[in-house]
Amino acid sequence: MMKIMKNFKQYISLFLVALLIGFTLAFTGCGKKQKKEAAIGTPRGTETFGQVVQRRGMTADDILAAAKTYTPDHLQDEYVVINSGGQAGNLPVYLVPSMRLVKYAPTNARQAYDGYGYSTETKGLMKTGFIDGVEILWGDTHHPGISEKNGDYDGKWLAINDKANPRMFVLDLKDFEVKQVVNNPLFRSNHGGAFFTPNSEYVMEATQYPAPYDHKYHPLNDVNFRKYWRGGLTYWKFDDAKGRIDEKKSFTFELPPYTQDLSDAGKNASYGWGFTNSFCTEMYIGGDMQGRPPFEAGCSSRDVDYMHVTNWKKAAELVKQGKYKLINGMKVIPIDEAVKYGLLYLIPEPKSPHGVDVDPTGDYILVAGKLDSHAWVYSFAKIMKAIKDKNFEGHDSYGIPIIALQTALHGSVEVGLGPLHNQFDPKKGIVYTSVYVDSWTTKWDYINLKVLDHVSSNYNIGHLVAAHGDTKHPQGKYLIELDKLAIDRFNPVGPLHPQNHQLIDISGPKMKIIYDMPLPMGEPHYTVMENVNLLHTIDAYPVGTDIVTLKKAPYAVNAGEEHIKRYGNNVEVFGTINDGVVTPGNINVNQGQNVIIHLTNTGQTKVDHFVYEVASYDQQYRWRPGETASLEFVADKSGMFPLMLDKMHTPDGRQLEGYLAVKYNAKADNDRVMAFSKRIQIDNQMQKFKPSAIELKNLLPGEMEFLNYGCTACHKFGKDFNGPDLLMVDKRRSDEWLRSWIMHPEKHQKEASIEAMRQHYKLAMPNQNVSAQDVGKIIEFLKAKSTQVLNQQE
Amino acid sequence: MILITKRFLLLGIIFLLVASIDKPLFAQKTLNDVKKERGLTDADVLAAVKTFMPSGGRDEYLSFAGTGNSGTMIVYGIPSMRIYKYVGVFSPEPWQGYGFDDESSLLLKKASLDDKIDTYGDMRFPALSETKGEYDGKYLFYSDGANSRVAMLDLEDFETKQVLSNPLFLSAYPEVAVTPNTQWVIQTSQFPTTWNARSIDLKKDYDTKLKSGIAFWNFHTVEGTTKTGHAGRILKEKSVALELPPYTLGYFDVGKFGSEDYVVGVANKEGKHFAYVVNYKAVTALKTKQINGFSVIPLSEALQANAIALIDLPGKARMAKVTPKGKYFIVVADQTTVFDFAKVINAIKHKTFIGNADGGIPLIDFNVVSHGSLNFGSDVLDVAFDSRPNVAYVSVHNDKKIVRWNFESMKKLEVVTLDFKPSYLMVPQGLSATPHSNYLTAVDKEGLYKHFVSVGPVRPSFQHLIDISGNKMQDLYTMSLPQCNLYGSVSVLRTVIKPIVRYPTGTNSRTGEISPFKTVAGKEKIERKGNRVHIFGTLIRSHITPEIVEVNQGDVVTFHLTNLELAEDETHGFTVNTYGKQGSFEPGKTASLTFVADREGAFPYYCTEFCSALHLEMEGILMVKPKNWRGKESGGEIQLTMAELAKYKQNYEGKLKVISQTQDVINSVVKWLKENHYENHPFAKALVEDAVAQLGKAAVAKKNYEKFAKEGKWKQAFLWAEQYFQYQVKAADAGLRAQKILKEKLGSAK
Repeated sequence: MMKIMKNFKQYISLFLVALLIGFTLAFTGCGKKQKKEAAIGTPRGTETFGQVVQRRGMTADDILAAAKTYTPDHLQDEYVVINSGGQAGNLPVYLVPSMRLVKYAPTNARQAYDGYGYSTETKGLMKTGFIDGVEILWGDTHHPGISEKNGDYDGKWLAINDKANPRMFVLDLKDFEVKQVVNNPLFRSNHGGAFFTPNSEYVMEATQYPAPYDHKYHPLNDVNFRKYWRGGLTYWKFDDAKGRIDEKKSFTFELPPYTQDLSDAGKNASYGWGFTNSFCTEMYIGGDMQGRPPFEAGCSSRDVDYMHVTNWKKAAELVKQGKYKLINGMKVIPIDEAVKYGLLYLIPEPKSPHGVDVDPTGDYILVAGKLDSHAWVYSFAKIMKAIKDKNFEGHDSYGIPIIALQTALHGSVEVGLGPLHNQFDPKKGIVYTSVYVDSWTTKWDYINLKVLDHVSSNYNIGHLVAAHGDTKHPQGKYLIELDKLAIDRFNPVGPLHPQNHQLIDISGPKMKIIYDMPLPMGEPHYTVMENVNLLHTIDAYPVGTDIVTLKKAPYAVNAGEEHIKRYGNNVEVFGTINDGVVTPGNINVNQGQNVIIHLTNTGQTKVDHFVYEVASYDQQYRWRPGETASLEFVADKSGMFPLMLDKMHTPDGRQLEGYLAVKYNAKADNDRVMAFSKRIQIDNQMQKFKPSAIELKNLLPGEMEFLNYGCTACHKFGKDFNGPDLLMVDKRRSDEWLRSWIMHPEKHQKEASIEAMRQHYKLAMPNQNVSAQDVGKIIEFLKAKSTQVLNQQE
Repeated sequence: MILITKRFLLLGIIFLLVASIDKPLFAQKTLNDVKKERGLTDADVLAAVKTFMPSGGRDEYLSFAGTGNSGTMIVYGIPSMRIYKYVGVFSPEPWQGYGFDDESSLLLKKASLDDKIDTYGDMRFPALSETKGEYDGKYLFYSDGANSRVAMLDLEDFETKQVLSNPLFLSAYPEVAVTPNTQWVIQTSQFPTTWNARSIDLKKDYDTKLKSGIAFWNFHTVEGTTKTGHAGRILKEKSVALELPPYTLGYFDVGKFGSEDYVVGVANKEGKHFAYVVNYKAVTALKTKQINGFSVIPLSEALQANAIALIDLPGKARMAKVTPKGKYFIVVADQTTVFDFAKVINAIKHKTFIGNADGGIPLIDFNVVSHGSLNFGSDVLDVAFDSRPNVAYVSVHNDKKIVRWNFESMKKLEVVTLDFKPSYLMVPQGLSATPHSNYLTAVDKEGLYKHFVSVGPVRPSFQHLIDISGNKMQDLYTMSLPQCNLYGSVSVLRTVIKPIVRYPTGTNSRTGEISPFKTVAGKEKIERKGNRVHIFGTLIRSHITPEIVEVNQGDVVTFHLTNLELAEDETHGFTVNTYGKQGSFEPGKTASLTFVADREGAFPYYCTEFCSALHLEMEGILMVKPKNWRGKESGGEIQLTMAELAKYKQNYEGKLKVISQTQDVINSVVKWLKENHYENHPFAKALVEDAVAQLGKAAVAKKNYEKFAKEGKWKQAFLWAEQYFQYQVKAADAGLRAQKILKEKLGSAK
């Protein structure tokens, strides 16, 4: 009853605010009717505050929200938010409270703006993240973590996982650049990473979907799944001074093939322990086409899943003593060993959980299970007591002791349908939980177990982030909901919508949404919010720095020392970008030579960023102040290719620095054609390129097939090229011969005319695996094109 | 100014009053509290309310940015300056699957000289399609300055539909312009090069062997073929390029209303600057020859047709822009000059030339065609127009100012001094025949702000929103644009664009046509021909069909997937772990991912876009069997004990109860929605339709659980009942969202 009364009062007061605004507007004399459509775009004239508010239909709350978030140039934002970019494979960074995006830091997708994946140095870094030799040019980044000291952010390093390709990336927050990529040699998938332990001793990475550690084929069935498939939890040893993962000192807990999910490290009393949740403890294999209900049914059929409790501190000691098994070069603690030494326990947890979050004191662990309307609070003290007393309700099928839920539970609170993730407030016992299905955030007290407030979101929140909300000292003030759907919130921009990040003011007793921010690329999952006071970024590097190693590059030269070395098939340029001018300007090479261009940017101010590029060679890089970086490529095309420099922080546009003059070489040109032909064959393994009906209608019959099989690489009409001129070829050869020749060129090698042509062009007609149907179309095109060209010539 | 302050005082008092009422109740801060706490001035608060967008509000304009070497388009709103979308154009972008799925990968490969994906572009000045000189909100074009390509995006779905290689230029000027009815999309070269793939001796052969050019890409539209009634494509076969002597070409524009047959631009050679004028209507009708498979008009033909001339400029020229009504074009330079189009056309017609420039191109006397010149200050960079008659704005970079002036009377009207060096300018609708007049954006290339938080050496681009609605211009907002080297933008009134929210089921979004790989529910299949495996699958909350796929090592595998969702924003993603491919499947889309399954083992695949409460369970397994595998067919299914079977029976019965309770919840939501006439609200209606569709899918699950229960197969019965429940959850999820939207709409209506 009291609550209703209070709500009623609030309603009345809001009503009064609205009324007053209304009056204000009336008195400020701007009660004009909505301007007509025709008037859109004509000058509005100088407007008063009241006129603006009325024109834009703003409420009192809107005005307050505007004032709380608008950050003019004379003010500074308070927090920086570093997000995972999801399948965009990058890290979106924005500022709070202005919610302005400032960066998309690349992690594992090439990014032209930064030049990431273009210089030899960053290409090499990316290459260390290729798995089994597969060129992986994207990633699915999920959970960033900032390095910690005494359970608080130290703001030095950032680690993030890749769910699609089980890897970890480490960034230096001095320059927000990736410095290290570490592949997990056991896993085929991960999700629960990266979570730092309180002094950055380790970074946690758990599997998502289990797979056999031996990476071998085992027929898929229930028995084999339980026998060969495995989950795991890797504790990557982190060197906080160097900011690098030490793979040799890292270890992995072998875990049952449950689908492990997120983790968190204990602090204070729970220091030395880690908590990892899981779903699909049913170990269910779906298969809708095999008549089995899909994974989603079988993976959610039990009432509870398991929280995994691991003792990393003790495990590290055992690993030091050599108590591990080496698998694929990784130190693995087998399940039975972990059980034997008391390193691994399970506790039932609500169904299909996502967030497992240790509170700032380290005394409580909160779990939000998406298929339960309650958030559950576990007491670390109770867990320890159960372990000490060996008070277990039984063991799972892998022999891991299970602590009874009631033994470990502090309590549970009904927070709504689909609780997902928790973030903490500086006030003791206060937590915020995102609720997916009900689309709201619940503020509640996890010690006294009561709900305090709700705020509705738009719509379906995934993770939440509060300022330092997962550390020992949360800072409160701001909370951000990472909504998974935006639907009607923004101007429509096609079927693919932006995400919506809603900023909430949590400084008062009532939560208030104060900003809707579209997140325009990528789909952030987890995110961290750090006070800007912890930032210690640099603007420039000492001249000659390789930004991956942060050491002096061996190719760095001073202005005046530029030179070109020619050896073997290589042309190696040691150049500079000095005062916005590249030396050397022109570069002369022969077709087929390997070109290496090292440039050192001698600039040292914030605006000395330069993009140097080779036109039509897809070669470019952004040189940061002081950086030395290299471009390396084979000059496989002949011609005059402009070498251009763009001074990024001036409006001057691109300047021509010179030309890459590539002198024609017949052999190299043949190599290029053969490579082209090979690419065409690979393309044809995919579906064939098919333009839209409009374009197709305007092509000659068979022209698409002629292009798709790459015939253009060698043949032209009315001109000899890498192969003979095709003009009127239909008059020289019979359809039958052409058909056989195109489909099986190897059968005609002994014919005298073919032999002569091969001598002349130094190139054999490749078999492009043209289908019987397509060869007819190509012959039709040869005739039509000849006629067209002849008409043009007349 | 005084007026504003007075109003502020009055409002301040009222807010204090409000504060005194509401403070004891829930301690909500007042505007004055916030101002004081944050150190905001009155002008700041005014700028804040002019730009802040309340939740669910719509920006007045959508803008499309030229992002330089990022190769990706940015879409942002005015006045909130929030970024809505990045769209892959010349660079692959995995979130959208652009350059990762087969359809877009092949699109990019075929747009290269060598059938390999050029991974970036340099796109600085985009153009919107026009009808009678007005933006029609249908298409958008970009030129790639780096790898010499042109791209077309459809604003129906904000996707890149075409990328085509210009086989002549090697480096293009990173700008496009369209003719008033979008018949031609114009692109020029920037730096001269050879067109025959041969190197030259620069000292000896510069003038004779290097070439420049202007490409006229033919654009062809077929009305009524898509949902919003437009489908257009550039036709390379009908496009032509004009061959020019080795001039370095710069910014250009197209005439309108009387000057609509002409393109004007700036050019320079050996430090000498010119404005060029080309009668493209005459030029595009001339006889062509084929070079590198492109139709080329020899310069001699254009000269003979009297279709090209140069104007000698006294200093360095930055750009040439045509005034909205087409009467003048303005060359922005140290001395900004207004040229009278009628005089220029007259001079060409009557061959009033003062001689020839390089390549034999006739020269027009500057004084004969100039309307007037003005000196605005140091380093004038750009000009923009608004709806005020004959009014233009120039940015004066070094002097940190923007000047409003009249190009008819040649008078300066107003100056705003800024805290930054402005460069490129943009007015919404600004390159159309009717520019608007309340906003102007100005790019700040330096971005040197004392208080702007630094996140490392690589910084974003900055752009300011300037209020030009009144007599005094005011700087309102500093916007940062990451992954963007910002130059020009184009901006269109939001109501002009009519995007779709879903595709007709089975659409190949790159062609806009139904894909041959479209797959509907129940028709999923795996086809094998030798080592070629095609999987025809579907995606729906929260499962992928098929969930288990087995192939042989070395097979070439293609997943052709169709997103069966009808609900807005219900996008799914797809990847096979460690195989390097990723696709984005918006509602209705069909796309394909091909790779060679060259490693044995078990590879999970999953939905990469958080789509539903059970998104993490939206998974499957690709089993790759080694060649000549001789292992044992080990393992098998686990038999249930009687006790386990009894447990499943119990679970099944329990689940039926949950299903009945959940149905009650759904019914209550449905009742509320009906009572409040959800059908009158499109967003709510679409969600209710989605909820109904989800429940409709549950029918099969129900049939299954009833069947298995009858047979006493309690495990299967339970699992299918669970699946039924999952559909209920999805229906409830959509229903609750509809209720929320409707409550908000009804609330605001009251």
